[in-house]
Amino acid sequence: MPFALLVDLAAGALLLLALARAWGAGVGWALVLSVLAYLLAVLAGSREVDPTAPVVGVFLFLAAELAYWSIELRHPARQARGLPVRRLTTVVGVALAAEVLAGLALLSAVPRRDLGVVLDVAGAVAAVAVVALLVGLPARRPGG
Amino acid sequence: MTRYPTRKLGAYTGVVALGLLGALVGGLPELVAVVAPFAVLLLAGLVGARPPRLDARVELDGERVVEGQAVRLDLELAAGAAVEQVEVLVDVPAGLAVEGAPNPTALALAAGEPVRLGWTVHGQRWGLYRMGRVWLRVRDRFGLFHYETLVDGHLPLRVYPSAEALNALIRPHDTRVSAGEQVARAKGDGIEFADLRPFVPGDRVRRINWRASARRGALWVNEAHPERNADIVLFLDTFAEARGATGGTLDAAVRAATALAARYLTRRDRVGLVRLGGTLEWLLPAAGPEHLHRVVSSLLEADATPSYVDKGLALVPPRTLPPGALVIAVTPLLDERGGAILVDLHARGWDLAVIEVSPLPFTTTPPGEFGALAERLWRLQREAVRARYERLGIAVVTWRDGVALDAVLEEVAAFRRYARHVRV
Repeated sequence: MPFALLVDLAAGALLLLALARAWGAGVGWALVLSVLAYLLAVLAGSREVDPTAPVVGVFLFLAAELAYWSIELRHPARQARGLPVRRLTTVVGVALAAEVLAGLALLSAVPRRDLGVVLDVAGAVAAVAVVALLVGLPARRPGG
Repeated sequence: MTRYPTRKLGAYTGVVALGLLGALVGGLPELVAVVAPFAVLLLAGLVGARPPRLDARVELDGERVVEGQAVRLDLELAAGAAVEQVEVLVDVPAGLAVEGAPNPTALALAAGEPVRLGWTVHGQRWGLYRMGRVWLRVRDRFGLFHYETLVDGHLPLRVYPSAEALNALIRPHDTRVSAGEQVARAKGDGIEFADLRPFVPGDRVRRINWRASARRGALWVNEAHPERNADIVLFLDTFAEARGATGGTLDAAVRAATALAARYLTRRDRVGLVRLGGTLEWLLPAAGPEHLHRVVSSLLEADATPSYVDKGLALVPPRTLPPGALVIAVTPLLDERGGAILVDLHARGWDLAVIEVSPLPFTTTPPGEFGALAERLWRLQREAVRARYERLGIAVVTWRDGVALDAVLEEVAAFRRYARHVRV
């Protein structure tokens, strides 16, 4: 656990450095280190499935998106009007879809005999919803 | 448009790969949940990745400006499908400045609704520029790809040097037989009084000086200096230049050559041009306003190209240097080859005047004791070169920053009034 914490701290420091120096590759490496820290923490912890994993994933994703956004804002070209709202909508939409998907993935990983058929139906509905979301997102007009 | 993956695509792919591999090897479904948002974004981005369809048109409302003047550059952008953000960067060559809309800038495009952007392009330094190059970059919705393209309007822009209006001019020793505004040293038909001489049969009656005839008891006639034109050859030394933040010797030399060419051509003289340096370019002497355009166009291409070739006067076509022409050399006296050619010109009998464009405002003293010593030696060497020219009877006048060219020409004229011609 202390080793995982150490890796996590290194990831945080790297992310701060990347933000300070507008270093895009640094954000990527900080992400990899964060996932590695989580992996180490899970290995060091109990053998039960971690129910907070989807939340951790979404937070990591939001942190990464905001970091890349911050670096892009340093570019001398000003952002087009309305872009921040559209971008935020996309990020939140992807995060919500991923949250649902991750939750279902975790549920399917936990053996629950009493929920067998219900779980299958919920999984199918969720899969259809995610596919619909994926197809719908790129086709939407900007600002629409 | 060319598609480029962003750093985010690489990072997210790495994270997803690491998570899925870890989940598979370690039997840890939590890792799938952790990397799920990244995987969803990758999937959505890859499925929806389509190159944008952009139409761009660049226009420039003029092809010729004088230094300090401006032209308008317009860009019309239209998209077949809506584009969230297109970044626009106008490629501005050094010597021009762009004002008006920000550069670079970004805007959103709706399908079928063209957008027009405009910039004001100021010509800060003379030259021949290629305008109309605009870079467009579109970022996809998920930030995984960039699409870039270069729109090249192939729009030439000539920025002419702002020439100083001259009053003084260097008077050539010899003139041609055609009419002009230069009072010739020879005697003939003209307005400018030259001398008196006894009447000889054939003289026109209206040239008899009746007052002198009455006083001397015989017929005397007036003699006059005819007005002729002359051949002027501008010799631009482009072997080397000294350049600073505010300009360089070549800038000043081109402005001086432009001013001289304009002034001599308005006096109906024939003006030729020789640019000798890394490359040799020449224009045969000719007269007329359209020739000024040719001279200035040739000057716009002047560049101090480094070269180690020992070029001499033999390379210059003989017709470029007509006998009796006044050669006005505009040189920073930085390269020995240029100096040797000037001495050669003088030795071959051409009437020569040298305007030395001082490189001192564009140089800095090297640091340290030896730096200061080296600069002193360099300055002494320059003094020695100037003294050598003066001993030969060549007028050499230094044109310092901030001094009017008229003053320099007056100084040249004063030197030539008293200098003796020496053949070496």
